[in-house]
Formats: sequence, structure tokens, C-alpha cells
Amino acid sequence: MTKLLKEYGSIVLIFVAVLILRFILPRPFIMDVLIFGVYAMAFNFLMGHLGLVSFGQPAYLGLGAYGTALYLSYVGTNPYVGILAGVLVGIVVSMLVGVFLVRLSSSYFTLANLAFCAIVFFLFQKGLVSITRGDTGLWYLARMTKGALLDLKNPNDLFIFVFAVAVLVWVFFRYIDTTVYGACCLAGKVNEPKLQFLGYNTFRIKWLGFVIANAVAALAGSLYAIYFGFVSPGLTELTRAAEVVIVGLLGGVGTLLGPLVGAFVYIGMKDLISKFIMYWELVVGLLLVLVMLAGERGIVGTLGPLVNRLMRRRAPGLAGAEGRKP
Amino acid sequence: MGDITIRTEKNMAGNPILEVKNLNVSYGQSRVLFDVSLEAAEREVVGVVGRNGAGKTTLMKTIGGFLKPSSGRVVFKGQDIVGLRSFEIVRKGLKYIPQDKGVFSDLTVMENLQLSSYAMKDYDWDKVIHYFPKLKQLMNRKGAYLSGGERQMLMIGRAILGKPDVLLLDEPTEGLSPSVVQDLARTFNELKETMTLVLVEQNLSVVAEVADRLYIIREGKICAEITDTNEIRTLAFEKHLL
Repeated sequence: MTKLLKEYGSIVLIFVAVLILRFILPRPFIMDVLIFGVYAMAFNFLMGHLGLVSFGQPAYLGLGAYGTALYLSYVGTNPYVGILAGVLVGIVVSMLVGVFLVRLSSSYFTLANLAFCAIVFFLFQKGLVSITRGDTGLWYLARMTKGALLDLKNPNDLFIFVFAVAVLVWVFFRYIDTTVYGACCLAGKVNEPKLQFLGYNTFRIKWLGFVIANAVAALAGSLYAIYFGFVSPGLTELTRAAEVVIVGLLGGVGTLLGPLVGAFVYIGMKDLISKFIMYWELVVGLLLVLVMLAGERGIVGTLGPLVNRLMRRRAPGLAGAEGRKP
Repeated sequence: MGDITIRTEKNMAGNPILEVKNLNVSYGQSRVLFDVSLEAAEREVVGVVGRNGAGKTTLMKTIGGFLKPSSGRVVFKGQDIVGLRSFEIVRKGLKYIPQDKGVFSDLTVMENLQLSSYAMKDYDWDKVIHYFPKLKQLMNRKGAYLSGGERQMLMIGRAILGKPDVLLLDEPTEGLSPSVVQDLARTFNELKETMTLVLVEQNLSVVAEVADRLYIIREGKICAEITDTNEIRTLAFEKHLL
């Protein structure tokens, strides 16, 4: 029980806090935090577990969103199938581009993803204008029907759905952490040749991780598509490429709580500061520079050990029973 | 240059399991290995000795598939493995243990072994514990907190999972205390019963104790091959290194 509490206590607290905040803070804000949290969890897996820094994540977010939007605009009306379509688009495209991108070394991977994002933006804005309707975007809220169990057109039901998805995505990444595959990802991030010495095909490990991360990014895109009932190429703009990287770093790369905390703080700062200052990006940027000085650890990585130390001081018996790990 | 012993088939204790033929390796414009040839029989310990910068590690990395030769062949169990990727070579049964004692420092001993077990589909840890009983007490210790000797034990322990036919060991005793070196030498003698070891070493006494065949490498060339175990055991080969 103690072990379970220690392992899952913090995340349960976070999700309970989100549930409570739902009744205190504006719902759009909490929805933004949850969906961006899912998107950031995907990025966190890519950077924190595979060591791949991508400035092209909006592309996969957009692919998921447009997959859902195109389905709901032209094919069907069921939002659940729409979400599935969006995730499938994300998976298929990631599988294909991953074959080429994952082979690249770190900085080239970063830039190639950025270039891919530019291509996707161009396709949505101009290349496929006949079906994406360019900057006008796709509107399909009226076509969407009630789904099974929850009516995703209803804001309260949608909140429950998005909340459940966020919890499931978190549990999924937590599960990966406990598998050999998760250990391989971390080991490969630290030293790829070492993993090859053991007989692992490191390309496959990274490729699979790339597909998993982008499938989740596409899922976040699908959630945005359902939430707004509208998509436009703006979702994949290059100027948004740094956002998820910032949130990842802000929360703490490689930590399971980091993406949610990062999303909460980043969106909160954006919302709050933009109410008072027109050039809010300047203030947010300066605050972020300060946080970045702490490095990859971010908020969770910096505050986590302090909180742990405080808790141990309050409950010495607990720490003693667990013993200090070497 | 020292004397070159021309090897004949009768020098081989058994069938060659690993043959390196006229291997040439370059780093860009800089050539490091010149027509290197060597072979190892089944269940034989082959020593490769030479000064720093002679090309020993380059040779090991090339055999292990981590470097691509400009020409030459590496034949393992009758198949030319040049061009295969390193993990494919590992799965064929030829494992390289690098010099840097690179265990995964964030993972425990058990997790390090699990990674290897999973890759090789071999979960028989008894043989690892048989060779390195100390690892049993260290199962929950993270790699970062292991001593140099313990790391080396873990690396060899990891490598013997999957029953490799050939182990390439790159300076396994470097930086270890004499007692640990002695233990490792004993282990090499035991491992020899089940696999071939290619041992790159600067510690000549270890080589003298375990090697059945010895290659001396100087400035990227094999300058001597010694198959006379008396010459090896008495360190008489030292003259080639001067």
C-alpha cells in the first residue's frame, strides 16, 4: 500500500486537483491543459525516453486533427470513429516518415522534423486546399452526432472523455516505463551502441517509440478537433513548434508528471499574463529562460526532490522502513 | 618488426570459428589497420597484445560490426559478416565487450541482465551466477554504484547470456585491482570450456595465463603470431613488443 501510494500518489493528486479545478477555473482552460498535457506527454516520451528532440510535433498534432476533421466533414458523423481516424492517420504517417527521420542523428532529426512540419502546413494551407479549404478551415460541429455513452458535443461529457483519455495516456506511458521496451528506450537514449552490444536493433526501438509518441500527439490533435469543432492550418504553424518543447522542458523532461504540470503552468502563464500585458510573449519568454536555466529538470525535476525530502522529514518511519536505495 | 610465425593448419586446436582476412580499416584518410589477418578456433583463447594506439580496439570494433573495413573479410562460422549490422552479428553469436565498462548506470544489475536476456531470449541466469556469484548480492544495485570489477563481471555476465560462440573482450582488466584481475583470469579459463575468447589486453600476465594463441599488433599490422603455449606462458613473447 505504501509503495503504491509512493508510486502513484502524486499523479492521483494531480488528477484529483484537475477535477477540483474544473469547478474553480474556467472549463476551456482546464480542457486546454488536459489536451496540451496529452500532447506534451507524447513529446516527453520522445525527448525524455528516446532522446529525440523534435520541432515538428505540430505536424503530427495537425495530422490527427485533420484526420478527425476530414472524416467528420466528408465521411461519417461519429466522433469516436473520427478520433480513431485521426490517430490512424498519425500512426500511418509516422510509420512512413519515421523510417527516414529516425535514422538521422539528433540535430538533423530535429531540423528534418521542422521541415516536415513546414510541408504538412503547406499541404493543409495550399497543397490540399480543395479538401482542407485552406485558411478557411473545416467546420463540422453541426454534423457530429452523439457518441456512445458520452455525448462529445456536450462540454461536460467532453471534459469527462478528455480527462479519461489523459489518465489512460498517462497510465500507458507509466506501463511502458515498467517494460523491457521502456528500459531499452532509456538505455538507448543514454548510449545507443551499448544497446547494440546486447543485440538490440536500436533503429526499431527508436522507430517504434517515434510512432507511439506521434500516435499520442495525433490523439491530442483529434481531441482538439472534437473540442473546437473546427480545424485550420494554424494548428501546424512553425511558430507553434517550440511550444510543446517549452512545456516539456518547463515540466521536466523524462518525468511522468512533468507534461501535465508544464501544460498547466504554461497555459496558465499565457492566459494570466495576456490579460494584463499586450506583449505577453515577452514576459512568458523571460520567465521561461529563467526556468530553462535549471536545465532538463524543469519544475517537477527541481521541486520533486525537495518535496520528497520534506515528506521524508515528516515521516521518518516511512523512510526508514523503505531503506535508502544504493 | 618481430618474427612472424607462419601458421599452418596443424597449429589450430580445432576448426576456426572466426577468421579475419586481410583487414584494412581507415578513419577518413588515416589508415589504422593494414592487412590484418587472424583466426580463432572453437574453445580457444586468442590474445591480441600491442601498445596503445596499435589498432587493437579498432580491430575489435571492426570484427564486432561497429566499424566498416575498407577491405578484407571477417568470416564467422563460415559466413562473411562484413556489412552486417552490429546487432545482427551479436545475434549470430559473436559478442563484443567494449573497453569502457559500459553498463547502464541508471539500471540495476537485475535490469541490466534482463535487457540482455530479453534480447537473446535466454533467461538462464544460473550460469551468470555460477561464474560471478557476487552478482547475486548486487541484483538491486544500480550500475552507477558498482566498482570497476563488478561492472566488468556484469558486462561479461550480460554477454554470456544467449550462449555466444565468441566473446571479444577489449581490455577487460584495465583499471582493476590485482585480486579482481586474478578472479577474471580464472573465469576466462572456465569460460574457455564453452566458448572462444578473443582477448585484447595490455596486462601481459593475464594473457600469458589464459591465451592459447597470441597475436602481436604493432602500428596496425600483425607482427607476430605465437602458437607455442610455452612461449606464451613464460612471457617470452615480450621481445616482440619492445
